[in-house]
Amino acid sequence: MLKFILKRLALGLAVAFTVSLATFLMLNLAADPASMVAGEDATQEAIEQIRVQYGFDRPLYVRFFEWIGQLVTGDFGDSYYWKQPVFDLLIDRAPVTLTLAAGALTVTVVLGLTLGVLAALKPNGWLDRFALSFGTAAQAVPNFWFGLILIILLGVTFPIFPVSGDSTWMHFVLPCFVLGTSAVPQVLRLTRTGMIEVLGSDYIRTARAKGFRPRQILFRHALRNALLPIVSVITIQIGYKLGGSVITESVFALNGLGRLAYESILGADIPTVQMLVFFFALVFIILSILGDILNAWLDPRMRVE
Amino acid sequence: MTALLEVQDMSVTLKLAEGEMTAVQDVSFTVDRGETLGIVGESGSGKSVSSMAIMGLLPRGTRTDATTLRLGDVDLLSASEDEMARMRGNKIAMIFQEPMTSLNPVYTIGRQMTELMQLHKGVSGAQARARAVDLLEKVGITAAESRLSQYPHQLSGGLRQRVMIAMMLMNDPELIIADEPTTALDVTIQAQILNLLKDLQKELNIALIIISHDMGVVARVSDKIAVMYAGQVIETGPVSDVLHAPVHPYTQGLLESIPVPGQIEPGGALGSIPGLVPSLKTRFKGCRFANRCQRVHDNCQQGPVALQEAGSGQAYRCVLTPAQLRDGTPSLSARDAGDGSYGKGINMDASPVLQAIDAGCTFQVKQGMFSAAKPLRAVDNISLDLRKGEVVAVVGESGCGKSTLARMLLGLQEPTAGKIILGGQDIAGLSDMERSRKLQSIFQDPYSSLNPRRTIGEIIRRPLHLHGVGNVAEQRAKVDTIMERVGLPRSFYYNYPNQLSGGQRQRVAIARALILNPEIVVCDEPTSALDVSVQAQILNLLLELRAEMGLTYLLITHDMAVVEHIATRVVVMYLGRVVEVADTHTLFSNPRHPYTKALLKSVLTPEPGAGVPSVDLGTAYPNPINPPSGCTFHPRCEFASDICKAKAPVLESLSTTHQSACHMLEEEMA
Repeated sequence: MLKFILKRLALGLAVAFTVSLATFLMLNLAADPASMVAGEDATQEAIEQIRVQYGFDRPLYVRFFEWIGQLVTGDFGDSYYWKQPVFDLLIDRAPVTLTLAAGALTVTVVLGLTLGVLAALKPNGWLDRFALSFGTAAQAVPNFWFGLILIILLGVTFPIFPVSGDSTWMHFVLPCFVLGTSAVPQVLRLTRTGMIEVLGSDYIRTARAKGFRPRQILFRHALRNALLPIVSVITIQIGYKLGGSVITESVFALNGLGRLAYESILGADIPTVQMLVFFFALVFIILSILGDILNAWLDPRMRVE
Repeated sequence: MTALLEVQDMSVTLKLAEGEMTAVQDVSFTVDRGETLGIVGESGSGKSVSSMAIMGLLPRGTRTDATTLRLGDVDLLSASEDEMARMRGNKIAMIFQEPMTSLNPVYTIGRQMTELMQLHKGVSGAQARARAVDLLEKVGITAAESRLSQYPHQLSGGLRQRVMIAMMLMNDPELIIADEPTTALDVTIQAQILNLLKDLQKELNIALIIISHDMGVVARVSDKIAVMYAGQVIETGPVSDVLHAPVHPYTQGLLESIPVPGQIEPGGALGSIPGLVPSLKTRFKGCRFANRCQRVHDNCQQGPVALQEAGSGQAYRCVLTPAQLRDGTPSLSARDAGDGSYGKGINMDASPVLQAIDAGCTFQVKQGMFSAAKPLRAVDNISLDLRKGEVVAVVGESGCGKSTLARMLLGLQEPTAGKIILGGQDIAGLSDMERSRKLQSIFQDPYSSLNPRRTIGEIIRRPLHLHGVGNVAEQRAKVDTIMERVGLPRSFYYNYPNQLSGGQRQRVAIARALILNPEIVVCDEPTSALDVSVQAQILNLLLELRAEMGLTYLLITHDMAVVEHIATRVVVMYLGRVVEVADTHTLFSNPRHPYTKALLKSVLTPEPGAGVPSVDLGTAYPNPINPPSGCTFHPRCEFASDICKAKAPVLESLSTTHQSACHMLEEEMA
């Protein structure tokens, strides 16, 4: 098992390096970084001054390895726009986004798994039809629009939840729900299909022949098998959630990493954008390693010997 | 005396979208402790539905009626769902066909065994574990203690079925229902499992129901049998009476359609029951077998036929009397025992039509994302000649490389060593068109080998179109001719494959293979997906076509009875190598390689009460990625000596038609 985890970690590091290289190249080659930082109306002189001041005049590879060096030592440089260390920005903003992602994930897992299992228990029954209609609707409705509707309905018409800011847990209910439901259809369908397949399998027939009651069969014999493909999808979904936080945070005026990303892109704040992309990638990599470990724990056949 | 299990007039009705369907009707039997009932029937005969009804495991919306359905003093019909759950796995145990998929892949063997005892008996984990170890030892599993922490995927199919049996014994059941317990296993493992079941049943005094499509299995292990057809028991009685003196025309026909050496010469026409097993959606007026019966009578459609006594516990479902039915009138169409000339007159000196020269195929197999690829020698240095008119059978257990060899000979798999010569030319240098004109194939599964979106006519005409043979009218005429020849009604031209039965689809596959007048047809398990009564029709057809069109067949199969009946020469493969080659008569009468002997011994002809000859090959079939050293068969061979572990034997000629690779023969020859 340890060997398995070490192998996954090594692979993860390789991916992290590739991502950082790609990010760096995109941000530095897409346009002249100096003129981006200087702004649209800047004079040629101002641009040249910035080029020297920020070190854009040095060769690309020197700057890349300088950045890698920064990553390794934990110093991520200063933000051009906020004029403070990028690391402080990250520490400051991350809790909001991580709370949002965790809440949204809970919504996805609870709704997706429950509806999926219920739908699978009686295919084509009313619950199944309800779940599938819900899934189709949730997939068809754009996220930001759903957020706005909820704000009008539960924030303005019936003011139950606050609609902007992040001071109490109540502030997170609507954004978590909006972000969470967007991934429900996929998890729901996968759970439903997986569960129907598992419930029709030979080993479930064996469990029935052993005298287990339907509830015992569902929780003791079927669920673990049906979960296997869902784990990896959920890990990917968390990645999408982090990406999706850019929009959701804007709609609900949450001051998290998504907003930070949005603002630093507009402000051509290269060090911050670079760091955020790398941070999201790192979270993604860690999650997929966790997903692999979880799957290996759930399914003995995945454990490489 | 009342029997342990009593089933009287049981019917099972399924609710379908288009109405109700009676899957089982008026089935009656009893089984006592220590007794074995064999239920035999083709697919759709209702044999599995009957067993699921006894277990109370039929899906919702299914109705079971009976005058009596009782185990011991429990009425299974009126028992609540909770009472039934307490019976299952406790008083009644069930063993299923697929050991590979019937155990939960994510839990250990130990957990799956102990949970069953803890569920019903409320014992401690330690007590259950102790019992599990005892039972694993009882079913012949070594190192039982350590097996408990293993997962199903770490065990071979034979071991898994042993685990399944041990598991089902955890609570000392009174009745065991084994539904096709050995169908998914290799023949050499089948004997071990059947003997194990029989021994345990005697020792523990259990009532046993064995359900199978295989008359050989049922005949050899049962005390009495029930023959099922279209949802009814059509004949029942003590096994020796039913098999030696069958009354019902269907039973008679079923027994005659199995190729049994001594009763029929190789190549003779097997008796075959015409037509198809009827769909259970049919509204039956009278006898359900009437439309296929040679003895059909005016009274057959005058209402349901009741089970009639035929003396000494034998009963049958027919309007005629036993005397009338046993008057010697053939119950089957066209049985011809053959004149012994089959396979003679093949010119073995002619140049081969298809040839493998030192052919080998090695796959690089990766077992994990990071592990280096390992070579898997699927086929290892095989030379084989096919001469015009021969029927060469390649036999061996799953994993022996016979299908890879077939794919190489078809030109679908490039050999990694040696070459394949078709009609004097290297097959690698031939185009698909040149190759397919001479060489065609028929596959095992007629359900997936026909394109579901084309009509039968298009499927058969397609090769003519691709090869540009004639204009559309000429092509159509050719299709009509071949359809008639293989026994397909012309009206099927515009039907789709899903509207046809398995046997009919296999006829379509044969017609498609033959429409270009090929020289050689590779038949990969052509009858193993078919029902017994249909298998005979297809074998007869293949034999007739061979004679008429001068075809050469390469037959890939695991069924030794089929081999003995239609092959002229047999190649026995083990782990990618040929261990013995001989003409069919020699191979069956004088097998020399220990593996061939084991294979032949494991063939179960339907001999009542003959028991199952024990074939003990010890360990399981080896993993082809890590083949044993020297002679790859040595770990399973009772004669193995030191030289077998060190050196691989080569094929020695024992006569002009007989070669075998075994060190014992080398010593003999020296």
